[in-house]
Amino acid sequence: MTRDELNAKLKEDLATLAGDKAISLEMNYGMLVLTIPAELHHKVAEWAYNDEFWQFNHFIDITAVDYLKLHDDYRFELVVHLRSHKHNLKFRYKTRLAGDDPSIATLTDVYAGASWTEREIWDFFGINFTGHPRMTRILSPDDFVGYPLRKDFPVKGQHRGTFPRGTVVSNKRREAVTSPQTKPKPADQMLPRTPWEIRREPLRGKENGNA
Amino acid sequence: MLKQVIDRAIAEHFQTDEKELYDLNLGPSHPATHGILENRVKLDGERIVKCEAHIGYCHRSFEKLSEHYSYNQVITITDRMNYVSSMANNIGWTLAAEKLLGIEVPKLVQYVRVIMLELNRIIDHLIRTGILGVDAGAYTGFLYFMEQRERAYKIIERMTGARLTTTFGRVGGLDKPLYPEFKEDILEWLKPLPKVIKEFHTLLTRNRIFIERTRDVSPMTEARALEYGFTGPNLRATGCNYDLRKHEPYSSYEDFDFKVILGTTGDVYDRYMVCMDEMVESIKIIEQAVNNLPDGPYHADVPEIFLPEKKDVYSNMEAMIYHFKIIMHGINPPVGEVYQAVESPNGELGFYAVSDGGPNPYRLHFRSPCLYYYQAIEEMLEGGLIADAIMTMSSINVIAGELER
Repeated sequence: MTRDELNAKLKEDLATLAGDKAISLEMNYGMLVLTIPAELHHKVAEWAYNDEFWQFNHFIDITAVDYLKLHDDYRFELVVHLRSHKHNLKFRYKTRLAGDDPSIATLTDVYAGASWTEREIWDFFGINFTGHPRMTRILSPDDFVGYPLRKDFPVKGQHRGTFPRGTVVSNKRREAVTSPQTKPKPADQMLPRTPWEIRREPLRGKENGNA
Repeated sequence: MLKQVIDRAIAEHFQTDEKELYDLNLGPSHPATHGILENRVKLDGERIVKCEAHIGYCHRSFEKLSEHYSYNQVITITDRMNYVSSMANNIGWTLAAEKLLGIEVPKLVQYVRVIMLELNRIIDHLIRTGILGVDAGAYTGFLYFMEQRERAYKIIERMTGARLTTTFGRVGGLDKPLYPEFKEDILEWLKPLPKVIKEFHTLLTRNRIFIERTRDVSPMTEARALEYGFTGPNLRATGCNYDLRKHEPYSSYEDFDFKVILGTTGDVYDRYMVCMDEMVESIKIIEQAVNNLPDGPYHADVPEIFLPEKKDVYSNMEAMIYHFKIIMHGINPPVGEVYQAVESPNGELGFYAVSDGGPNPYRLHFRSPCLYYYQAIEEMLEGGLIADAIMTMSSINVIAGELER
């Protein structure tokens, strides 16, 4: 079967699987993309792995996108890429999640490879995966505040964390001190003063007529 | 009386069912871990009973940063991911952006990209196999390979002006025309390579100690590797035929004749042999590409995306307008999303980009192959010896910069 025939057949199969719950099912840059509501997320992965004909046994990727205030009915979208080694075919499915702190079933019971990427999504987007064996932060420190890849998180960070000098970093939890970020100085104050300014310093008050 | 009490206390103390396990932190800063990787292991004697991998010591938030960079600026971010073969990342991202914009680049650009991808594959595998030897205690081979790597850097430096942070190519083509002696330099560089690889084979491949250290160490089955999301040489070592260059050809890879090297058991020795043989195949590809290098422009004809030449900017009105537009407004691809992957030396390096029509990517996700290898390390190390842990970590070639992005 050629790539186009396979995609056509997969489109039929996915349409019957998702039924009328499918939000959209279309070709996008040569890859079939299925968009589904949250309750089908685990079901599609399970079907993809266990289906006799397709055997989507190669886990490629899972990530999330934050559409803050762009859409009314959902905020996050989980994006999963799966590949069938038998047919050498990839497809993508996107799951829409509503609410600011969503929660969804994990895929680790189907694909072992989803483990760390789901932790990364929890770390960066704050999407909780229920049933995950170790739902902790992975790349940022355990006591980090906020979810950095959300669109409402400023790129400079919310807090400036410092590690106090001489503290022993324990295995369980790092003792980090967070302080509110101080406002940076205006650019002209950060420049070193010129001799011209230094010499005129004593005169400044006199010019204003104070002395 | 007192003796009985003491005896009973001693007996109770030692007759516990649980064995006392020794906790050890392998890493994060240890010469054998090659990067800032931490493994907390529980040891029963020399055997690893439990392993817990911790990462995050090298995280630089590239995905957030790239949401605030223009499409061409993101190339500089990709440099810092896999610094052993940074050009592969650059090319991967430019391919993804070109797919999003719908640009078809000239044949010359595609061939030069193939040459540089394969050159980077060779220099990556040179260091990867060399370091595996070092971890097994054989330092000599590493020096043979580092010499060749250094010679490759001369070419890379001549092409891009940098050794590691190459920022090679732009969206829509190469950043500048090829320098005149490019073909000769590449062929000159290739000349001693087969001999050096052969010499390295004589040092390690049949070495009794090396074989004992690597054979059947941390094997991986094909089905499990696919579930874990393995790609690249580590997947091919398990016997699974998956190579993006053959299965989803990009950048004219379908023009070249080469073999996909497959292993059988997926242990450390297989990974080593797959890499060694892949270098020979890469040499073949480069020779074919250099000998058939077509003539033509060094970028696609897309004035609204590719910066005009500097001398045109000063003399040509149209070029100046485009220069101003690109610098001030950036490249604005259509609304959409794209997934483009390249067979980087380490595996499938994927770029998932979402565009909202603005000059920056709305969301950019790097699918780094290392993350998927390293999450399997817990399963691979448990039950093995601590000396094998070092070999395993070295053989799957985890680059901290790519792992944590």
